[in-house]
Parts: sequence; C-alpha cells; structure tokens
Amino acid sequence: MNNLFRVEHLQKTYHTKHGEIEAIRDVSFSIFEGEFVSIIGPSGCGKSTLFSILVGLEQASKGTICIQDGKTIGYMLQSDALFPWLTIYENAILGLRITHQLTEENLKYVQYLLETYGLSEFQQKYPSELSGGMKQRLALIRTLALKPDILLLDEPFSALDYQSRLKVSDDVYQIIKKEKKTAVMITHDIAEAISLSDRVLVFSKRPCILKKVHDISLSNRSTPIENRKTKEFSQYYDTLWKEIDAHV
Amino acid sequence: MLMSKEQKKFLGKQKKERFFILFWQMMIVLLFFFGWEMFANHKIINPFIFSSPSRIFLTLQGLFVSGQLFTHIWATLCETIIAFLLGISLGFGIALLLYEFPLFAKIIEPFLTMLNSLPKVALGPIIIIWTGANGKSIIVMALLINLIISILTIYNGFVATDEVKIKLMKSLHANQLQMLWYLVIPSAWDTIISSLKLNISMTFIGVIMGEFLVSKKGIGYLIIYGTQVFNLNLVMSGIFILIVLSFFIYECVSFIEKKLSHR
Repeated sequence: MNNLFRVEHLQKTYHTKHGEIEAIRDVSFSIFEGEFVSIIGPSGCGKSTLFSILVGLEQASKGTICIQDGKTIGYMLQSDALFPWLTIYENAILGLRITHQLTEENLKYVQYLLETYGLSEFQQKYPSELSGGMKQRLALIRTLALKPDILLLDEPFSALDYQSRLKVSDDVYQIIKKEKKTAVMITHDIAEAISLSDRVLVFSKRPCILKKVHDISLSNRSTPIENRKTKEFSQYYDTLWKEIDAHV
Repeated sequence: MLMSKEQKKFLGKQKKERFFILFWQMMIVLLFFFGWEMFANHKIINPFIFSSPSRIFLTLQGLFVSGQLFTHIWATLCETIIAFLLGISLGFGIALLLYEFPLFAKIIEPFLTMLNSLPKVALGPIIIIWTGANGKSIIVMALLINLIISILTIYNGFVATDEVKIKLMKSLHANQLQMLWYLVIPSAWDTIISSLKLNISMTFIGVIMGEFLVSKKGIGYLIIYGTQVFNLNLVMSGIFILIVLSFFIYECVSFIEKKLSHR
C-alpha cells in the first residue's frame, strides 16, 4: 500500500501562566491510501491538537509530518459549524469560495455530491431546517467539495443522539468509501472505532502517547452497523476497553 | 383550509384578548387626559403649573399655525438622524479596529469602561466651550452618549463569534478580510441590528440634552424656553411632542431592524 502521510516523533508542549503542559509526546505513525483509521483515547488528551497540527492551525514543538507530494487534507470539525445565515448550497461551496476555486467543474462536483447524498432539494433552504444527520452530511460535502485526499474527522458524530449517530456514521462511512477517500477519525466511542476502521490507534491520557495499534480484521466486513454483529467485534471491544481503562 | 371548531374557538379567544388589551390601553389614555382636564378646570390642581390637555392643544395649534411646530420638530429630527448615523458608523468602525487588534483592545478597555460609566452630561459645558454654542455641540453631545455603548455592543458581538467556525475558516486558510466578511460580521449581524434600537434611544437623550444646554430651535429648546418664561403650557406641549416623536422614531428603527435582520 501507498504511504500517504507519516508523522514522526511529534511533540507538542503548551506554555501557560501555570507552567508547561505536555500535550503530545513522541508520536509516530503512518497512514496508507484508502485506509480508515480511528484514533481513540480518553477525552482531554491531545487528540484534537494532533489534528490541528496536521492541518497547520498549530505548530509542532518537535518532530515532522511528511505528506505525499500534491496530496491535500480536508478537516471536518467536531460540530457541523454550518453558517446559519447561508443557504445549504452556499454552505456547501464555502470552502471553494474562500480558496478561490469556484470553477464550473468544482461547482458541478458539488451539485453531484448534493444530489447523490440527498440534499439537492434543500439547496435554497437554511441549515436550521435540516435534521442533525443532514447537517453532518452537508458538513462532509463542504469538506469533500475541495477534493481532499485525506479526511480528518474530529469526533464527527459527537453532537448526535445515539439513534442518528449509528445511522449517520453508516452514511458518512459509505460516502467516504464511495468517494475513495482516506480517513482518520478521532472518537472516544470504542464501538464506533471498531465498526468503521481498518486500524485503531490507541492513545493514552495526557501527555498523549501512542500506546498501541490494532489491525481490525472482521469476518465478512460490510456496513458499520452490520460490522457490530460480527463475532470478532466483541473481542476487539473487550481488548480496547481494557486498554483504555488501564491508561486512564 | 377547513378549520376545526376548537381552532376557531382558540382564534376567537385570542382576538378577544387583543381587543380587551387595546380597549384598556385606550381607556387609560382617555381617563388620564379627561381626569387631568377635569382637575385643572375645577382648580383641584393649579393649571398654571400643571397646564391641561385643552391648553396644550391650543398651544400646539398656535405653534402649528405660526409654522414653528415643524421647524422645531425638523431641527430635533435632523440632529437625531445625523448623530444616529455617525454613532453607528463610528461605533462599527471602532469595534472592528478593536476586534482586529486585540492588544489595542486590551490596552484601551479600562478607558472605555471608564467613559461608559461617566455621566456624559457633565461634559456638556466643556463641549460648548470647545465646539461653540451651535448645532455642532448638540451632535457631539449625542455622539458622546451613543458612541461608547455602540462600540461596546458591536465589539461584544464580534468577540462572540463561534470558535469552531473560526477554526473552520482557519483550516480553509481564510485571510483576515474573508474572516470578517464571511464570518465575523454576518455572525454579529443580529447584535449590530439590535444595537440600533439602543443607539436611537441614547441619541435621542443626547440630542435633547444638547438642546437643553445650547440651541435656538428644537423640542429641547421649546421646553427649556417654556421653563424660563414660566409658560408651562409650552413645556407640556414640548413633552407631548417628544413622546409622540420618540415613539415614531422607535417604530421606524424597529421597522428597519425587521427589514435588515436575518430572515
């Protein structure tokens, strides 16, 4: 498989009034093309910081990030962060507008995405008129519109109730697979991590250290909801549960 | 669409309530004026210092016939509009500066708070000396009263921009101008619009205050002149015009607010 990007000996230290806080300590891993990788760990550890560094919002204190030439990263935030004063369509093309890429080809792609994922009839409506799941889908379309090669998802389903969470994670997973994207997702939901991912990276609490990497191999892997029914699922769940528990 | 009996009953009840409220509001006004007139006519209150509705009416009629009525209203209205427009545009501009330069905002914050709590009327005499006894000093007076509060309200609107949305814009590598145009200003828009109402009442206070201190026309002038020559009919007429005018201006701003706010 093709190594899409690599993080090497990444370190992040924050300086505050009360002293230094070590958020991330010596983290190294690679992401391969077409993979779906989950990062799990206790909340409040430096998982989101890791993403912020990857997207360039923050500087690493030490270490390097190598991204394959010409590959781009798309970032999907914890909440949908839709602009309530813009229509669904205008929200979808926000990224293109900001980055000056409003070409005919890109707009057609947005149309295709809106149509394929059931939002085209709402184009002129406003986000307040959408359900939680639709908002999440729209946020994903906004990210996909820029045609990123790698998607970083920061707890994308945390704002949803349990029912829609299962449904939406299924949706989002299908979309990502259909558009052939590589995805890295932060979550603190063990079941979600196992049911969606090819690999799970387990992080410890602060300072964030990469504790273990699990390759998830499920017999007859299909949709995330179906994956939860496989017999390996509960074994992985037990293992991961104990691991996270031990590190808290 | 066909309405169910219950729905009709509900709507009927609502209509009745609205009518009931309106009826009593009218009654209060009528009773107030009627009582005032009666008390004044029967010398229970001294009409020389309390005036009476009929005297106010005659005074207003006199002002109208001589053409003075609209000269005074127009003067006050013009001053209010100028000070209002200056206040919101300067307030918006300065708030934007404060938001763009957080360090500057931190430095200047205690001074703004100090100015905000200072009774601006106290500066009146100085303003007259500095700007001269003319229309300018009225505008300055009104600006003093409406500007600080506008700056603070609009600035708070800017600061309240959702952190996650800022993060999103940053991850798209938006520049500072795009940040303002696409996120910060639209997200503070409703706060800006609702600050208009606050601003107009402040401006009105400022204008009347200014007219009290220095003026040759305007409603404030009418009132202060009436007091000086002890013509209480004129004073009460001035107050009456003021009530009507402020209600009218407030409704205008409410209308503008409705037109400009998001959906």
